[in-house]
Amino acid sequence: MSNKLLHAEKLCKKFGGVTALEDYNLTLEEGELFGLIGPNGAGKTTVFNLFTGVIHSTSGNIFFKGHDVTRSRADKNTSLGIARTFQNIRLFEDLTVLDNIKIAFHMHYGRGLFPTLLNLPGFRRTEREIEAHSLEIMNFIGILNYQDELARNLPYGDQRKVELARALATDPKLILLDEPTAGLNPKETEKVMKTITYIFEHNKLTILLVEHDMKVIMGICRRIQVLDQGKVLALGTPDEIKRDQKVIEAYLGKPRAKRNSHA
Amino acid sequence: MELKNTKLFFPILIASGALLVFLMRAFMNDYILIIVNFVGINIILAVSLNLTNGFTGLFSLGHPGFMAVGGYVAAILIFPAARKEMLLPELPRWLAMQQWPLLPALILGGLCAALIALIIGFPVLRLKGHYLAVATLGFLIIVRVLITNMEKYTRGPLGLNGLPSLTNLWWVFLWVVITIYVSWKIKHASLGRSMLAIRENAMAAECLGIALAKTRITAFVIGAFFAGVAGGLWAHLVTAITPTSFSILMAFSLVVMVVIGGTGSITGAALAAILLTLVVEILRPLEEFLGAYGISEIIIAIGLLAILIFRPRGLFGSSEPSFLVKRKKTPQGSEAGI
Ligand SMILES: Nc1ncnc2c1ncn2[C@@H]1O[C@H](COP(=O)(O)OP(=O)(O)O)[C@@H](O)[C@H]1O
Ligand SMILES: [Mg+2]
Repeated sequence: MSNKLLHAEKLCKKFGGVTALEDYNLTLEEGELFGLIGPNGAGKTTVFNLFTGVIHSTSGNIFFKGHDVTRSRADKNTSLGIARTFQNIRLFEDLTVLDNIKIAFHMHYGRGLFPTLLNLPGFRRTEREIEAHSLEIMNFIGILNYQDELARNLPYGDQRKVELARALATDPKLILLDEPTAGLNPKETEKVMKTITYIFEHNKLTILLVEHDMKVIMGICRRIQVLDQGKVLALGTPDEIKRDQKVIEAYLGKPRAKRNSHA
Repeated sequence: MELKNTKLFFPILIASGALLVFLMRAFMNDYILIIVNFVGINIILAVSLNLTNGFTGLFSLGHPGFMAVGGYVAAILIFPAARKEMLLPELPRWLAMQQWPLLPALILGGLCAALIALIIGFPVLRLKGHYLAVATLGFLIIVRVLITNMEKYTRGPLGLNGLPSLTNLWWVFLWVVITIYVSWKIKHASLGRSMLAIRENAMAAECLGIALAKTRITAFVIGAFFAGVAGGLWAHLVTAITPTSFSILMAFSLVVMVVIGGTGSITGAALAAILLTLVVEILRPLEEFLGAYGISEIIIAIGLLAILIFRPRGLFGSSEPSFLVKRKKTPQGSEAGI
């Protein structure tokens, strides 16, 4: 009970007539790498949108670090320590990679209008700090060579790295990764998963990892939840999940949905 | 890149500008000076609109509305008390007695415009894209209707004429420098980056902790302040102000300046303002001579189309010329182990 980081109960989300999520429950322990899988359209991204506050639930509650964040705004949740990446990459394309990372520091370091205009010493210091921290994180993730490149010009795999670096830069407690390997070839996939494991071990984070491909996360998550058509199908260790009859049906019994097809 | 120290570049630029102002005032005739004043005022307008439309991606057509607010406020404050008694006999006494110098009146005009931006910003800035454009256009129309009907303060459709001719190239130059300084400083600071982030991808910005509403309103309010100041300068250059001075056509040509310059580029907005103002002013005698009014509008519209087709990101894209924004390169040291 004490090290419960995030707790969602009875979440329900309807889009008009479509029920994207129904009676969804999840408890994340601090420091775990938790896997959320399910076929396309299962409601995984909807879970992320609800947790981050990008959209709000039709009913049910979300608690983060004991705060009720059910109705709270995305930027508030980020400052509480929830960060995310996006299934369809959302970089600031016309800005340099360095500026992309710097923006993540605005929340904690950025100064307001008057210190900026008056060029106060505090403002100049924080600008230097933002730059130093950004370069540090870029070095850590391995994208330092791109600092003055526009984000739009990076190869796909490296764009995913920028997203990861940006999320890390908000100094999160919990990172939600939405299909971080979508659109990558097997070799790149392996590299990104290695990066994620490295970050997880290095930064004392809690990670909620979404995949629609089971194989990818079987190896690295201790607990996995399976979602199908907005409902929780199963929750357990990778071995339990692999043997679960309902999961096998959801994944194998029906024709496989097209990969990576939507936002 | 030959200039060793970019820090020196701006003082040099300002000094040369000041020298230019001095020389022009000494040697140019009044007609040309007035055109140069218009160029300066349009730089203020385009550069400040670029803060809202260019940095933050808020497609506002309301700029002339803020100009009108600033223009009328400044005009009423500055007008000599004797003339006020004649033109605006019903003005409340405390207002009728005011007789302000230009600078504080401009600032108060700007602040009033900013205050109104703050008030309408909360409902209006929830809208996106063309909904926002339509809403700000609605704001412009409402401002004009209000001014037309507040006859006690504005003399309605007749407007105020015979304003003291206080605006000169020094004042315009001062405000051009302030406007450019403010947007330059914002753009190259965390605050400006958060604005650009919203333009690029609002959802990602929000998920990185940027407060969308607050940042959007900040940009909108700053833009409105400078539009208000420009309105005051404009009124005391033209020496008359009527509700129809601030038209949809003006909103359009300001947006065109930002688009041609490159949404987000301060240099681009300023150069486009110079270019477009000169085109209009140079063609004006030709239009009058041929009796063919609207040539300049057509040329501007064609120019806009050409830009949209051949260079959709404008002359400068989102950036500034590289010799103005040199960043010291950090050594690209060892890559980390991942
Ligand atoms: N903004 C939205 N508006 C309408 N329907 C949506 C929206 N977001 C998601 N949905 C629907 O909700 C369901 C779950 O979608 P999503 O959470 O994106 O699935 P997943 O990420 O598991 O592939 C889908 O049927 C999808 O069409
Ligand atoms: Mg998804």
